[in-house]
Amino acid sequence: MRFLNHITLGQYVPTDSPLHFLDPRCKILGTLLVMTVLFLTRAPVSFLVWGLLLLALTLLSRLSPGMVLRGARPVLILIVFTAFIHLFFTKGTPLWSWGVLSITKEGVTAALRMSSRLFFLVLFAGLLTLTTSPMELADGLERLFSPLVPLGFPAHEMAMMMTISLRFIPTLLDETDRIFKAQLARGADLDRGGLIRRLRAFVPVLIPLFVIVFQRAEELAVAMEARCYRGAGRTRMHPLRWSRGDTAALFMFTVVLGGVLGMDRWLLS
Amino acid sequence: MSIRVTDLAHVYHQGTPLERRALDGVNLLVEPGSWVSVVGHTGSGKSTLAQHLNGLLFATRGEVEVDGVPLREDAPEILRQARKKVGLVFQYPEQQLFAETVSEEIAFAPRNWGISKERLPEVVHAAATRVGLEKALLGVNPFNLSGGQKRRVALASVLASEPDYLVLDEPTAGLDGKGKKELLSLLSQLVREGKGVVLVTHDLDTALAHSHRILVLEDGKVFALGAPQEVLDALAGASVRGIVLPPVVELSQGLKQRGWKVPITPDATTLYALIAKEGKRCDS
Ligand SMILES: Nc1ncnc2c1ncn2[C@@H]1O[C@H](COP(=O)(O)OP(=O)(O)OP(=O)(O)O)[C@@H](O)[C@H]1O
Ligand SMILES: [Mg+2]
Repeated sequence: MRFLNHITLGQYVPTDSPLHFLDPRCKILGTLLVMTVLFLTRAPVSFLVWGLLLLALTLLSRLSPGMVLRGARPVLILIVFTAFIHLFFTKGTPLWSWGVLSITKEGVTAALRMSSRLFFLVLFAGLLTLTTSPMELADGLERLFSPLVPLGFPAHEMAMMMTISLRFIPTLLDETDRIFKAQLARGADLDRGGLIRRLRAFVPVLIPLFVIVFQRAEELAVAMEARCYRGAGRTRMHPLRWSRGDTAALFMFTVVLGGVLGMDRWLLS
Repeated sequence: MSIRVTDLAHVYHQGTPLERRALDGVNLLVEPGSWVSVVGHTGSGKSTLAQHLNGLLFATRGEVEVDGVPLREDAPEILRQARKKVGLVFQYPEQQLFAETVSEEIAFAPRNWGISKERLPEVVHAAATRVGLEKALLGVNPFNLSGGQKRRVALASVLASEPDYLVLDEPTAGLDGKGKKELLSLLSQLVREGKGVVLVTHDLDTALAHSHRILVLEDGKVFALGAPQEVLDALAGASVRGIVLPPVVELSQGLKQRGWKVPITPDATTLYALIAKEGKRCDS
């Protein structure tokens, strides 16, 4: 079915762009910076700048803009919901009211601001996972968290769990797709009838999926044990290398984000 | 009355870096009472083709018609009709089981197609018997069955909806010799009853022995399409990715090259008779 084709969240698309060659730690830190600054900016114009920044990074990543945008699809409902809540439940000067419902001027701006923030948050994070393989991502996170290991933080296990989950997202989507089709072929009707009927129609898809997930998990555990997996302290096939380019990129990016924040503050004053 | 595939092309993930052309310019006709086999290497597009035949995938270019009605994504009623007419058994269909008992599992498809309550038990029994499931198993949880039995349950659940055409994606993979033989003879029986059968398989020997027509795919394109003997002659003269000629065919080919008067054949008995005859002539 088509709809599963559209999920790009957590899916790595290899190309040989400059963004792909950056050290994952550099990209993770950059993304964290973006998220922080994103929640500090308030001026409407700033969100245009975020859009431009996203466009610039997309061009740099040699991915099609459509593909990056599709990353927002799974959270679209959440974004709309956030906007809705802010639109109706912000106190201030009313623009329009009907019974208990009222839309305020403050509500409109808050709705726009929060939904844009969420939108950009997802897209910037999506850019990270589109340009960084799950393996690199986990390696990067493990290294970034390694200072916490003496405090008992299971950096390696966490990274491993993350790698495995990310690695299995596409596989499970493929499996879902296959089971879904197999049941469609047996006449399952997933988009007719009321809510209850539709939910019940998913049982024939969910049960086989759970079975497969547990089977896969068990196979994986056996395979890992058979290869003597023993958690932390393993060496790397491709150790991460922080190059001067990474420092330069992170520095430049910080400067740009500082500029965005400065501009935002100046616009608000 | 037939499934007609015209100039079919399918591209996965079109317009993305993951774009992949899985089928290109495929033509095929599946008539009632005929057996078409599809062979080809891993990734040649066999499963992709199978899923077009009952409207689970849609043509990027070209057309698929079931009994004269073209399948289109935006016509859900037509699709339902087509899916009822064309039963599709997926690769490893045992992974689609979900019900609490075997009979519930088999009843899933006919119930979805709206069969009457009175006819349901009869249809379920008939389908179970056809695939060789004992009556005692009907009340068992399908998850407790062996792999081969699960496969039979899945097959029965498709048969129970009484399709006019049956498309099977590598149904014999992982079955033992006996299971495979039984399945193939069931398919022959269905063909004799007037159903159209499309068998996707890796096994050229099976295809040669049973089909009326064989489609050989190579990288999504048709390498050969025709009666077994025609396809065999085409394959014998060329090398196609992932296709290994059966030993008997190799032998007959070798003999023929050495001047023996034997045709290229997959059938051991025929070849043996001819060798015996030729051999006698050489002796005298
Ligand atoms: N859902 C999908 N998304 C993207 N590409 C796919 C998808 N399904 C199949 N393909 C690609 O399309 C091509 C044909 O696949 P298909 O499954 O039809 O081959 P097959 O002949 O059935 O192979 P096998 O013998 O291994 O079952 C392959 O190259 C495969 O990688
Ligand atoms: Mg296949």
